Amino acid sequence: MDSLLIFFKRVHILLVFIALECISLVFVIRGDVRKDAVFTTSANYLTGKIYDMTWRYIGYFYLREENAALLEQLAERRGQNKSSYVSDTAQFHNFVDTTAKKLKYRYITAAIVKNSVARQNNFLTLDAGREKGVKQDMGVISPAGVVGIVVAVSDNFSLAISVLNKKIGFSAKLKGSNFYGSILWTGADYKTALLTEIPNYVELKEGDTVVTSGYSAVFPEGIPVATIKTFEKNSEDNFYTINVELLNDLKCVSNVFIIENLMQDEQKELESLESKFLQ
Amino acid sequence: MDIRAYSRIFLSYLFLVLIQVMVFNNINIGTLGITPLFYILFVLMMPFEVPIWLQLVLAFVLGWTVDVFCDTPGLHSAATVLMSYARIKVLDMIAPRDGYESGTHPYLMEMGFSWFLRYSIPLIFIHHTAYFMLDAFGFDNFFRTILKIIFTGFCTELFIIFSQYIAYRK
Repeated sequence: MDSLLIFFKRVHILLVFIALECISLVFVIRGDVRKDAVFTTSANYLTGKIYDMTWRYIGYFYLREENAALLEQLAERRGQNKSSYVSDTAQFHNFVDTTAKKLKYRYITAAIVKNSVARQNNFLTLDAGREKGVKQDMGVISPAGVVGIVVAVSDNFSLAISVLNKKIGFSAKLKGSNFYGSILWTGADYKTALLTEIPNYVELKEGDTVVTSGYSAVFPEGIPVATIKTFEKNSEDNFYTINVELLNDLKCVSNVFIIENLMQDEQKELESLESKFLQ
Repeated sequence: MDIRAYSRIFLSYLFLVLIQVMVFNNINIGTLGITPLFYILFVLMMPFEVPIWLQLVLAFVLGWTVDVFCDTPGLHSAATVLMSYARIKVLDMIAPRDGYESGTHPYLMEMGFSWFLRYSIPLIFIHHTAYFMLDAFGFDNFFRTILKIIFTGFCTELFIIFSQYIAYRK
């Protein structure tokens, strides 16, 4: 018994070290943020409040870029105003009747209170949560383009997985044509990403715009994502390797819209039947 | 070690976590996105008299707190605990001929500039290597990860040396 105690005394530091490393590594390996992870992430109350406080001051540094982006969007909206159109009697019957349409997307505004671009798997914290109607799987966009997808929600904050995350990709297509593929981030430069699965017979130009496809039930169709920087044909398969430049400068984006797709549940429910027909 | 020394450790813990998440996490230099990891000053400044198992536990608590703020479960804790463990060995290796006198601290002002460099550079390097390698979790972008370790380590070291002249005088 004594020798056991002496032995334990000699190795207790090593044991403590191994135990603590094991706890940490289990969390690292188990991966990032899960649904129930609100208490181990920055979307919880205390950390959220601290980030909120910081943001009140840091936010000022981004006002210039922010104003420019908002003005741009305002100008665009103004172009779509009723007052921007004159009635064209020859096509009068072609007016858009909004009462006959059904609302599909709603927008919630929020500010980013924590952001990172330095890691390989980046996340954002937003200052809108359950009380404002934010739910899991909602899309997050800024005036310039796609930002991320909400993965966890607390009462007043929500956590979104950033586009700059190696663990997600999302569906996107070439503007103008309907060829679609996935946008994936490689974990390197925060301004560039990959567009995959575009067949190599499609004609491409540098500077072409890539927009969301609307297939994933998260983002509406046609939200700008990136422009094509370089592309080359693969010799092995029949697809292009396309490097795209993200339109969003995720380092200085601060105000965002969270998109609620009112028909998301319906679409998901229907699509979940898919597996039934595969057997 | 009296209660005053421990409350000093606790205050420096609070201060370093807050300054890391409120100030340093907002720094993002260049396309590499360099963010100094200043909070590890806590491990470097840990008094010699604290029992070693407690040093490891405190390092873990610190790492975990930063993890919660950064949404990086386990990353900072793993790196910080490793660094705290390595500190024992590094301190042994660079010990003065007669060992450390009681009542001394691992401060630049007390131990001298060259001792402090031999003390802090390996430890910062160990911490940053563990952190960025675990973050990359593989060998994608390997060269980039190496660059990140070197440049971030350099930035962290600068701020840590700077802190010695401001806050850790004799």
